[in-house]
Amino acid sequence: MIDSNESILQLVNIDSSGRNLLESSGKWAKFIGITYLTMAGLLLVITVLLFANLDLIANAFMNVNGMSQASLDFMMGAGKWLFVLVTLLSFCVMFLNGYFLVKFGISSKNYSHTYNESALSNSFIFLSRYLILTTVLSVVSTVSSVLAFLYFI
Amino acid sequence: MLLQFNFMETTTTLNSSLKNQITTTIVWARYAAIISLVNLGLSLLQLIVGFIKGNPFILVTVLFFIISTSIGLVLSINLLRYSSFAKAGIQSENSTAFYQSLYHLKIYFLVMGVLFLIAISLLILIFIFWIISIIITAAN
Repeated sequence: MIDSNESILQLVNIDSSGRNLLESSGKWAKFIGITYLTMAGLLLVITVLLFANLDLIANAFMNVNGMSQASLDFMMGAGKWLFVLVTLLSFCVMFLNGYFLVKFGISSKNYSHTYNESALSNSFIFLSRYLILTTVLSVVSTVSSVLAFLYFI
Repeated sequence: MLLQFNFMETTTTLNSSLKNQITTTIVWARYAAIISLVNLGLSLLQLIVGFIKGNPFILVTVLFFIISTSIGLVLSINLLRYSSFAKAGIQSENSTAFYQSLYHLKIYFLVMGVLFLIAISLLILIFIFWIISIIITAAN
């Protein structure tokens, strides 16, 4: 489908070499995505196991390190929910990163096998979502680095 | 035979909707790369301040800085090149520039993938050593 306002002489085309490059990017992105999804799953399992045995872990820490009663109260109260919040956030970030990368990988592979324009469109949509998430995470990382730097200086 | 294959090759022409989607990736890839470079600059500043303040672990910090900066630079530069080549390709309707952008996108994911492979291998090695140490302790 060529738009009427586009020059017929100068158009960007994707041929086999372009498709190969996109498919190769997609393969690596899919591998990274699957790793992220596995990490997210492991994080969830470890969190559930830790949460189920929190009393046992807190008592073990108390015996080994001589944890104070105030620390134990915090760990069993607000600390527990803070831990859940941090873990949930990490899980969401890993899951979304993995999901976008896997979808990008699948769409680019689909495009290079079927030459379907909508698959190509989907691959760039998921790539842009991944890049948006990466940018947001980079901003959070930069802000926390600046705050830590200002605090320690 | 080869000539016929090339002639029959299927190509996809980028329409305005596809170009809009690619432009979104161009914009966000540029933002991500620039913010990563800012982050690297901040790390350098932290290293300098640590050096001035007499950080006792300066050698370890420098080593960590060199490794993380090299990786960060390779990733950011490839993302930035993807962004600039794709922009040039879309704006000037140049397929070669667009392929260059896809090549840099591939390098970006390849570097990340290799790093993930190294990290997974290290984790597996640590796990194996941990199991071995448990077996040795149990045997003793």
